[in-house]
Amino acid sequence: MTTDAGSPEARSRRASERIARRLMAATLVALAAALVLLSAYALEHFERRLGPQVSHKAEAVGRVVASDIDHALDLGIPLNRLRGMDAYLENVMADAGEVTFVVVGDGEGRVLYAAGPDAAEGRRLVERLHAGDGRHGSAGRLGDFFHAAVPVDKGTEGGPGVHLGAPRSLVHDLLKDLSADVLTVFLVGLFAAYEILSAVLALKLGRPLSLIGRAMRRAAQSDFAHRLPEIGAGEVRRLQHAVNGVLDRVAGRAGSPGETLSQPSLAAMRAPLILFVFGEELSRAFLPLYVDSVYSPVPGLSREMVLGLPIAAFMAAIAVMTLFTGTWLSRAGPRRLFLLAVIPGVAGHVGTALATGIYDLVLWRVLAAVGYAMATMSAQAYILAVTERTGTRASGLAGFVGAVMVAAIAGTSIGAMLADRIGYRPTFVLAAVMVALGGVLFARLVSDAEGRHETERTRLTWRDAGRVLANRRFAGVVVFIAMPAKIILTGFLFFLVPLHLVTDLGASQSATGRIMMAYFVAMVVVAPAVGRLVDRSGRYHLAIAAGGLIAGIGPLVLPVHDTALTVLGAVIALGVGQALSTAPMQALAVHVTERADSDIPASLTSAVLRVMERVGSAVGPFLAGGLVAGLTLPQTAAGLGLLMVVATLVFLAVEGVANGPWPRRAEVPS
Amino acid sequence: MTPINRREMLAGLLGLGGLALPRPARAAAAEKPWHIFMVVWRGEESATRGFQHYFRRRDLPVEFTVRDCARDAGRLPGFVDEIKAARPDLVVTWGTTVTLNVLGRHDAVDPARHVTDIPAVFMIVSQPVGAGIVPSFDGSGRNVAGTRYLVREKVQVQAARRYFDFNTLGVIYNPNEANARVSVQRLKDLQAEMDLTVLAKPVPLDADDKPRPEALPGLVADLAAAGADLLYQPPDSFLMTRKERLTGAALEHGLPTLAAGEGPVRDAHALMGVVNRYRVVGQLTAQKAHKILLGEGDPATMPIQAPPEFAIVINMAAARRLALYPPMALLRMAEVVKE
Amino acid sequence: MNATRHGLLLWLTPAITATLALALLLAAYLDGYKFERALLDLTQSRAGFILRTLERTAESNLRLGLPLESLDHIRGTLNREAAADPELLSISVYDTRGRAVLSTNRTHEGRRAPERWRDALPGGKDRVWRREVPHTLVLGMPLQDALGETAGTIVLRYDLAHIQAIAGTLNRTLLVGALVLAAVFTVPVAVAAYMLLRPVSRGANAMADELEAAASADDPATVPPARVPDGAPLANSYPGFRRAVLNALAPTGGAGPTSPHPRTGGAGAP
Repeated sequence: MTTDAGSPEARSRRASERIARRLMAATLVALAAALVLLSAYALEHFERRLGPQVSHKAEAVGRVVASDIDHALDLGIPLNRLRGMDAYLENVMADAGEVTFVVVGDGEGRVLYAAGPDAAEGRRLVERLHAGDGRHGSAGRLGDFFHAAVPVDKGTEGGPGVHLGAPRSLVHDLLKDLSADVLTVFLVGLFAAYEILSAVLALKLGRPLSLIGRAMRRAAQSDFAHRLPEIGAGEVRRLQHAVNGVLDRVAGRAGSPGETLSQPSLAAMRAPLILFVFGEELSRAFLPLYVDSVYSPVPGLSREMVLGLPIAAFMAAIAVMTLFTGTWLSRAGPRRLFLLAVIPGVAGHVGTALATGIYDLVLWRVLAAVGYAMATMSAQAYILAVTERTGTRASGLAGFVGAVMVAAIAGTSIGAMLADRIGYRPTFVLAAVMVALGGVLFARLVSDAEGRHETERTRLTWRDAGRVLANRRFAGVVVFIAMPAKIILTGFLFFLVPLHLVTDLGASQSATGRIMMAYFVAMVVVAPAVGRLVDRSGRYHLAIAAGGLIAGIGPLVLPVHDTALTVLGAVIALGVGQALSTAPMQALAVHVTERADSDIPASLTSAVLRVMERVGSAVGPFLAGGLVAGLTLPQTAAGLGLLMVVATLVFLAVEGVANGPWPRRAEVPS
Repeated sequence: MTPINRREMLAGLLGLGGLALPRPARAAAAEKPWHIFMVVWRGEESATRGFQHYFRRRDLPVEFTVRDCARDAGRLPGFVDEIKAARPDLVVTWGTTVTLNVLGRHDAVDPARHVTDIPAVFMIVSQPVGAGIVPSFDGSGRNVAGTRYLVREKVQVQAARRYFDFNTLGVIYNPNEANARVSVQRLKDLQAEMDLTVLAKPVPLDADDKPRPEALPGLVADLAAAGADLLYQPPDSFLMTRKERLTGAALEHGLPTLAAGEGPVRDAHALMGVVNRYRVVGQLTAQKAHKILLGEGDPATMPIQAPPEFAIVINMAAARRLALYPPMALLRMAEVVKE
Repeated sequence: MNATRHGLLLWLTPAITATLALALLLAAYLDGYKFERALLDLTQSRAGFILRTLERTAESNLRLGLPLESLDHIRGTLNREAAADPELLSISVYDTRGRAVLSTNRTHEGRRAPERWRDALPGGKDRVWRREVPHTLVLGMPLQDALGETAGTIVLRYDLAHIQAIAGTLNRTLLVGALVLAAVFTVPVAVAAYMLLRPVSRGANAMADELEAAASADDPATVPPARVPDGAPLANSYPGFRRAVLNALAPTGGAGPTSPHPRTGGAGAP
């Protein structure tokens, strides 16, 4: 049965989506308000508990000043005739960190000496302190400062003393530092809210309603030989039960109960897939640094190449897996294969967490890659199987890509924040937990019957691959666009960016995670809009060229201007560039092979393209690692950027020569 | 065990680095210890003790022979003969007179009168170049190394300016003393560089060419009248024995005294001294001796250095009389003589 | 609330609470971490300041050419400093062999430095080093003698148990606060969910009421028609279904066996 957008089933799906969206908005408003309140609550507690510690520090500074003054007084120098106090106090303040004023008072309301950036304010406050109750010498707050006082001249409270202050705004600064983290939490909360609410509503409301609708419409045409599965929640389930009740009664007259209606749902498999990918992405922002921590030399490889080795091995394993999963899928089916993927997935992450050296680490990463490949490919197969019947393949696959992106955004940023806090190894353990949770959820949500449809898988053979690659234009797309794109992605973003940000620029792991996350955010934000634009204008070549150049130019800036902000810029440029070029590139690849040999199915072309892309992914970190041997990290990044730019230009030249002016619209099979 | 083997063993232990400083424990060193022969001018004082302390702290196997000439240069030839007979591993000389008599001028060495074939180090020599013991501070060119103990005039002026600012510096000196003349000349050489005016007054001589101590108060008064901001007391043994009279006169004219030694600050009325501690000088000299004994340095090319850090001594009684209290920064690092 | 008639809400509310709690707990966790770091930084900067001050005091003595043992006369200063700072466990001076020559904790004197940080003792040239051993922060700084050689190390031991306790309390406070906020803010969202789901619920319940009655009534045609709100899901499909079912059940075709379903409480499978 095929459905169009106006069908009753689409309507009930949209109804549940509309509820999900509104509910998500409500949840986000509540979350934002709660986060603000939590921050205010944290601020109050920060100040209350940090204050005394700041005062202790101020006291330590005060004791030094008081003891030096006492020394001078012991030598018979009067307190008001100390020489060189300004220079002396400024010198002390230079080493005093948080403390921003030091004031020496004579105990009778006169300030004799003052120094530090807030000296004027300190002078005023201390004078007022005397004018007030004359109390003196207790730690606490004074105006906008944490305050401490230390008596001099063996004095007691109320006598001459040294006053010190540290701004209370330093607690606010702490919270300001945290605002980026809190924003990230909000962003992740946004995705979590969306995913959780849509999954619950789709499974408990949307899908059951659409089934009930189907049952009702069939009954309306006097077809009573079917029953509903009772899978909804509460009132929906009650309605299902009631519908089944009347159908039973009708059937009591008319005969057999008939089939149980079923409708597989993409929503069911979305959450498990996200969890699985999320687990893998947790280490995105620190994997090279983790490798560095277990580094041991590998003969024949430079240190940097070894650091890139685990990423390269991961990507290579996925490329190889592409060749096998087709067979496995047709043998085990998507559901079993996804559940089987949990075994290497969990083992890979736990092994990575416990890795002792580079060799076992590579092994564990390969295992994780095997799990990752099995899971994502069975998810894809499942989606294809489900959408084949509903004719919503394109939106189904878009949903798949969306899920992977959401997982990448959340995983990269949260993994980095966690690594900052609990360390690399525990974060890998958490990754294993996520993967296992994905498996459990999958087993619960996706029933065996669903997705168990004979999928026509294109099995990739060397001969097929050779046939596709023999097409020069296709080879051109692969060599000059697809592979460089993946090389710069894994070599620059996955490998160089975390290394450079943390080791050279001293960025925190969290900041690194946020910067890397920007790539995925740019992809998510830009890709759909650009996709529509490109589809409408049909300027595929232009999109590919612009994308390649934008992606390549970002890293080129780094050797000239090397700050965390420029790295962020380069990462965003990469995301925007690849958002521009990826889909048109795939379309063009299919287009050129079909034009040359209409016997080659699009699925075969896509499969070859994917394998070649993954080869590029595997080469990326290795190439970067090799280049780094003679260059700095920014220079290497620029090298990869240059590669991308040059490859794009060569592609343009070759395509232009082969085909004259750019076609306005590549005829792309949908 | 031959000396060479011992050296290798020491070098090896040094190489161990880490926490363990070279520690050729005495017990293990049943071998012959190094023999160091010290000739001193006026008994075993701080520099001599600092020298010996350097070796003791490191548990280095050393036997010291110390000969004191008790300010009588006539005894020195006897010590030279004794050195030649005993053939120690190293000779140490204290002071200009001892050094000149034991080691000779660099351009007038007489193997009959001087020790030449045994490495030697000297210390507490005011003007090693001026006295002709070495041709330059870059090295002696012979079997002799040594250290300086006077703080360079420029450093003294800089340090004094951390106490209070001044432009006109008065100096009184005995024209008969080479050390003093060299010092005054150096000060004059600094005038342009340091924006300094130096008023130098030689002490008038009597008929026997001896400086006249009774002229000192008058000279101080002249300097005060000429607008000196402070009085500098150079390294000068005549002035050293008259430090009370000199610095007392300065104080009466409200003139602070900067002294080239500790004595005028501790025992008279000088306001401050910028000095090297004899003890530290002794240790620095011992460090050079140690290198020579280990064969790690050639005495002929070892630079004649002063300790890396000088000390400031302040006389608080003088400061109070002058109502010129030391600034806090200086108080933090200086040694203050209270009464 | 009736679990059957408002089951959707009962499914959604925990999901909302979970989402809010997840995000808020994560935020609280990060806040707590930041606080702990700030507290540790502050303690370190305090300890570092004291250390540098004492190092200056000790070195100004060593620069007189005196041996490390002569520092005994700054013992008073060290004791005063140790007494003034409640979290300062001890100040010790170690010689180059790692033996304590002086300590505000007399039991340390003459003993070697603990294994856990002994290797840090040589230090770099005038660089502060730090080690964290359980509940203790150890900060050290080499002492140079008059010749610029390392003569020993001054070491501060700082108690971290106190600030760890402070941080622990704050963490718990924030986590509890986050949970409370999640619970509180679930309420308005649940109300919103209730409003959003009301047409669905009412429609489904109305249809279910009629169908249940129809399934058990002797004459289904007598069952009053359900009032399905306009715009509720299935509002378009239901009338046709109803008609078809009623036709099929019309008594003309002879009475079939009636299902003994009660009119209310239709939970459970048939």
